[in-house]
Amino acid sequence: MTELSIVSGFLKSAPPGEFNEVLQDVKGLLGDKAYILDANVTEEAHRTYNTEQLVAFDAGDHKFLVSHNTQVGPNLYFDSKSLQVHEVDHARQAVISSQPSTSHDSEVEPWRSAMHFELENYVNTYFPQGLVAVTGSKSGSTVTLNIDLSAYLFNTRSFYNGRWRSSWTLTFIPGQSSDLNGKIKCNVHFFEGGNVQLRTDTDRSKKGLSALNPSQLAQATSSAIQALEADWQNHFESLFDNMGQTTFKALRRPLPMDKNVIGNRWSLIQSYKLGADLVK
Amino acid sequence: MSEEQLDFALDLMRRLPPSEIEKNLGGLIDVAPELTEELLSAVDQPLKIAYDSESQRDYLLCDYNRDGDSYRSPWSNKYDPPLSDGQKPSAQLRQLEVQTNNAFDVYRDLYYEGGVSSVYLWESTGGFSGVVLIKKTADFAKGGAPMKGAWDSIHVFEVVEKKGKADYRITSTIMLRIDTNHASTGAVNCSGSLTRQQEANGLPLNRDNTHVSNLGQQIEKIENTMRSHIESLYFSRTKDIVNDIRKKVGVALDKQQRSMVK
Repeated sequence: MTELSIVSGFLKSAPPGEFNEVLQDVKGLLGDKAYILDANVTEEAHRTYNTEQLVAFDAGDHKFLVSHNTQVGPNLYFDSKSLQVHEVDHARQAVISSQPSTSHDSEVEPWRSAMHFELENYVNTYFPQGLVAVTGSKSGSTVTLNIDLSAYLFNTRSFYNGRWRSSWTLTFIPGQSSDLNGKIKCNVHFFEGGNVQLRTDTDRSKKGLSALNPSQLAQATSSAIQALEADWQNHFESLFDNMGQTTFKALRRPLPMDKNVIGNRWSLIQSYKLGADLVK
Repeated sequence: MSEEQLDFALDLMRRLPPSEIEKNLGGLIDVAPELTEELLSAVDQPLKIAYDSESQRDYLLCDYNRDGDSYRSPWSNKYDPPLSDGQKPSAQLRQLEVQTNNAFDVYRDLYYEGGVSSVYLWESTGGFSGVVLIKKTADFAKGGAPMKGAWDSIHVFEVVEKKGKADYRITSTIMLRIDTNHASTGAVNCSGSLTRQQEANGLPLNRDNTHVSNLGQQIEKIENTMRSHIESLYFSRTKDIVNDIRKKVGVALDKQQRSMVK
């Protein structure tokens, strides 16, 4: 592996909200070799991170998501809410210029905009800091809608950052039915006196949503996503509620079997071969 | 420059995914080979297990029992691959090393019910230094779904003796990694490491309070405290953060419930 591919890998795995800190570290680590991170490389690293992490950019009175799905040109992103195309500066996470989008398909647009409306509603109801982007395309008579959802919680003062991402796809022929397929991912990073990270990744799907008309499909999709995400969250919660009593306890007990610390019996411990002798 | 580079490298290790410590450390060494020795001693890695065929027991590998490419077993006191002039503790310190290994082996049995432990000692100014290592892995299948866990404890200590008393300085790192893949939750990985430092000065050395029992009591206490901290951090707080990103009852009702609690 070249130095460049190693440090690019580091940048790619930066925790939520910590890209710039990782970039600083990488530059410092490279020292007088920092020139390998030239403007193009740095911009590409910012772009990769922003689009994969579904970062929200500020467009004045609202925000929009940059993702692989919303990208329509080198640094151009479709804004699912305002129907604009924004040219962005990835490093500063800022908008350079905006203009109305001209490329949307008039047959797809009613499906896409109805979906955006319902999903935005869902996101605002359940995520304090969340955002959604819906993009659409058509191939023959088949319509594809892509939904990217991203929500975050940055609390550097309390030494943690976290992000929830989910991406969903619907492929259908208008008037028939559609399957919903997607992924939910969560990342949490704690960094007080250590480095603890949670990473989750799951596939979810729901078959046979009615695609009779745009608002029906949008409502069915929104409630399906709500149910699938709630289901994941409930299972995740009970996994973590039980883990302390199961896996964690199997690794190391909170106390020995007899529920007493060894304490001052350490002075006796050398005359024993096994724990059983000490607690006899 | 080099020291600054090391600080950047260590900050990077505090941010990159702890589930990939070995890969990230390897990358750091490739980028800054001149920092290899410093990085290997400053960055804790999951412990590796080796087999001592003479004593027929497992032991743990770390930077402290390494000499060149060989590692010394705490049981037979021999290097593998064999080294005729490998570094070893003095006869007197080796005796203490044997006692400490036996004591922590009992401790390991009581708290871990399995796993491997190793203690290594070496001479240092005004006394001696050492490291207590414990590793436990668990592998289950819960309802057909794999669930893997690994715990690594690394307690590095320095002991200074004076007039029947001793000062202890202990730096403890615990690494924990849990991986599951249930159909209901998908892949879940929670991993990380926490480090704590502790000092105890002027502990008596007498018939009951030897180095073994002084170190044992302190390390037992530190591990118990860190374990409960890890339990709340890994499981409760991580879960709380996910639940703060997505409010199960909805943002509005959650706000209402919170204001009623206040």
